[in-house]
Amino acid sequence: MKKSVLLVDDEQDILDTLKIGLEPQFEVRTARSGKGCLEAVQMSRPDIIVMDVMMDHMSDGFDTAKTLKSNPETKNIPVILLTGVNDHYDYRSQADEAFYPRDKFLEKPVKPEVLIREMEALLSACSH
Amino acid sequence: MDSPVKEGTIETLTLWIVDDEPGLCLGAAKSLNEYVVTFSDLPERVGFSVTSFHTGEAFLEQVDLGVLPDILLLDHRMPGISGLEILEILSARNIKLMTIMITAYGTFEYAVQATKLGAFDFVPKPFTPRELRYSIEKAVRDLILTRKARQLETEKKKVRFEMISVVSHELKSPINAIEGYLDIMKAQRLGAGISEYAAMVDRCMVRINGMRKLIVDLMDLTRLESGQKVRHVQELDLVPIVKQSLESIGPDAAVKQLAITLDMPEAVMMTADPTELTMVCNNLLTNAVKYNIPEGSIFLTIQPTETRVMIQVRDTGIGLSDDDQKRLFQEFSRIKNEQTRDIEGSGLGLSILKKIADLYHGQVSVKSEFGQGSTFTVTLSRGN
Repeated sequence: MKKSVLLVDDEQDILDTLKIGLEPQFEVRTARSGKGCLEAVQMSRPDIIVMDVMMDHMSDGFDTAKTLKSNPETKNIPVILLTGVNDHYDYRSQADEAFYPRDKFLEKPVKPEVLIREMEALLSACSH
Repeated sequence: MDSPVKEGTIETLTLWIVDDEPGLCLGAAKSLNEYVVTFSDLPERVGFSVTSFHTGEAFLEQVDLGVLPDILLLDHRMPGISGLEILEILSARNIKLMTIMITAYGTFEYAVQATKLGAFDFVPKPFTPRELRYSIEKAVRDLILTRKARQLETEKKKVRFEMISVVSHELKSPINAIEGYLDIMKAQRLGAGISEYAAMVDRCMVRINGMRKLIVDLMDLTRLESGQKVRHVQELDLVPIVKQSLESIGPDAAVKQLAITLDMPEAVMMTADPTELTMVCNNLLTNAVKYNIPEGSIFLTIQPTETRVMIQVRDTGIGLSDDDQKRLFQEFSRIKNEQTRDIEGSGLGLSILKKIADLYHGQVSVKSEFGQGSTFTVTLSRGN
């Protein structure tokens, strides 16, 4: 059975292109904001989440990731956070123990092949 | 004397007098301690905190400790080290101090030497309080203007850096999106038929147009700011320009089935550049269309007075929160939320609007209610 991934980004084009790249291997759902992400996770728990740290010009993604990590029900869902060179903060340095080793930061733009590789690595690590 | 001072407050400069005559030092201190310098053409108000040294050596001790005054009042003939020698020492150490030399009458060569060593001005003794203050005023003025120039340079660099940072950020997004689509097409992930990719190609075009608009708007904004734009100011009627602008947004308004109501006089004569007025109208109207709801309305009002004209555009669109209203006129500010996520724009339109309004001694203001709609009002001088 295919693993499910929740893609979260405020840009529709990114969601559309990544979806096409991931669809052969994963069941893909999308959300366009932190709020949308939390709602989608509530409805149906994904095996892994890929989320942009910054959405709508704010740290929406990073904050949502922190929320997920602090909730015992969702803290074990691995999260890949996508950072950009022009982000307001160095998010990597802001991640505390709650984030590692289950989670990962990748820099945009990310090629689907690279993303798939990282996702599979995280998923197999988590299943142990 | 580095940080900017709030208007209205008195800025205190440190002034050191180096002179072996205690009487002169006392007299000078008295003239300056309660004195406040003001200028007819600058807002700054400057007072002084005066310290006296009776020998050059005592002064140099402080310099060795790294303490320096804003202004130095320096005598030449002293028992120990002389004023000129002090100037030489400061010069050798690359220490730049605003220095006024106290001179005895008839010492021209000395004045030349001192000037070469960096002295700013001279006050011949014996001097009256008035003569001293006059010289100090010149020095303070020079200090203030130098500081302003430095601040302007720093400000300029900062603005340039910010603008380039934001532009590169704004361009990265469409570039990454287009690259994503091209990768998919290259890998033929949707099959070998080119028609499968039609929607993607359209999306790429949309993003490319967005980039083009960004560049065009940026150029408009920069030209307006730098005064590079050649203006064709002339006597003209505003009404045909407004009508042209309405025509240009016609198709987009029709797609959304928007009702447009007009309230304007037959003609409004004014002295203006037609391109600038077109930009104002286009800006207001395209926003009213972009942020409107389907089957919504646009109300356009033109109201002239003797000397000014008001252009107001009200829409029944998604409106703005109070927080968003505050950010609205900042460059590249785009209000991002559920409703606006898919609306294209460079984020420069309102900055451009404001810059143009400035050219006409005008104002731009917005009244809005989130979820109800917005009213943008521009008033311009008719130039008559």
